[in-house]
Amino acid sequence: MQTKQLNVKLMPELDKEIELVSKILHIPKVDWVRNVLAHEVKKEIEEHKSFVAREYMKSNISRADLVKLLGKKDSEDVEYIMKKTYEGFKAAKRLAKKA
Amino acid sequence: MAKMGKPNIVLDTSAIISLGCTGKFNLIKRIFILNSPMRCKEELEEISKTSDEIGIIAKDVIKDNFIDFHTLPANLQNNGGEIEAMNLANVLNAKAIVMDDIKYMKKLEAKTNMPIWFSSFIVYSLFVQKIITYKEGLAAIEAMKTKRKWKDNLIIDSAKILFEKEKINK
Repeated sequence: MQTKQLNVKLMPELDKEIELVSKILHIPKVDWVRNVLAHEVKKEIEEHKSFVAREYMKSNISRADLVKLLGKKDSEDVEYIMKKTYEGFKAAKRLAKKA
Repeated sequence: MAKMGKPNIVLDTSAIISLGCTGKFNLIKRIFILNSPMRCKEELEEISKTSDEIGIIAKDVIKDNFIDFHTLPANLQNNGGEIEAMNLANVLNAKAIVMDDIKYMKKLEAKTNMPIWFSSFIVYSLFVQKIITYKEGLAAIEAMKTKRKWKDNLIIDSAKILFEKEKINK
């Protein structure tokens, strides 16, 4: 797998703390930092995607912006969720009239 | 208009967990007959082995008997709970299938003409049938937002946004 290198300067205290975690978990320091970084990046991206999708659902951004920010597939899923939610609510109203 | 009996609906595991988070199965039972295939019960039993929030909900759902779990004939059984949910819905001639998994929802839509809705449909039904208040409905929808992937949580966000529009329109 092709990798890229990222050089980060750490405060000595943080470096010591990472060293400690690495000893406790028996994981090489660099591997632990890489895992934490990957987890945080994924979390950040998902939060960003959720925010964009919610803004579209509230009609605060256009469809073009949605596609630009999330890509075609995720945008289609957002629209599918909105459509199915709307259909479900409409069906609930129909059922309530018959109940 | 003639009153009709309680509609039969079929829940898959994802919907059972979502609705379990609301703690409103006792109220839901007042307006719907809740069914699920045995495969979903097995999935719930598996989930109940974990001691987190979802595990506890799964355990409670099995214990409380709010849902009728059906064993399907051998030719209709399947390893996937959602496929069995579809087969059961056909057997019972159910009003709808309820699930909170868009991947499987799309797959099932290609295989059946039966309506498939998210579990927010049930919470909204409680509200429009005046079983719960607007505030309780909104709180129930928020309670369904558990540990899921971002796209699955959008199901809840979408319901919340539509529910909030309801108040603005009134």
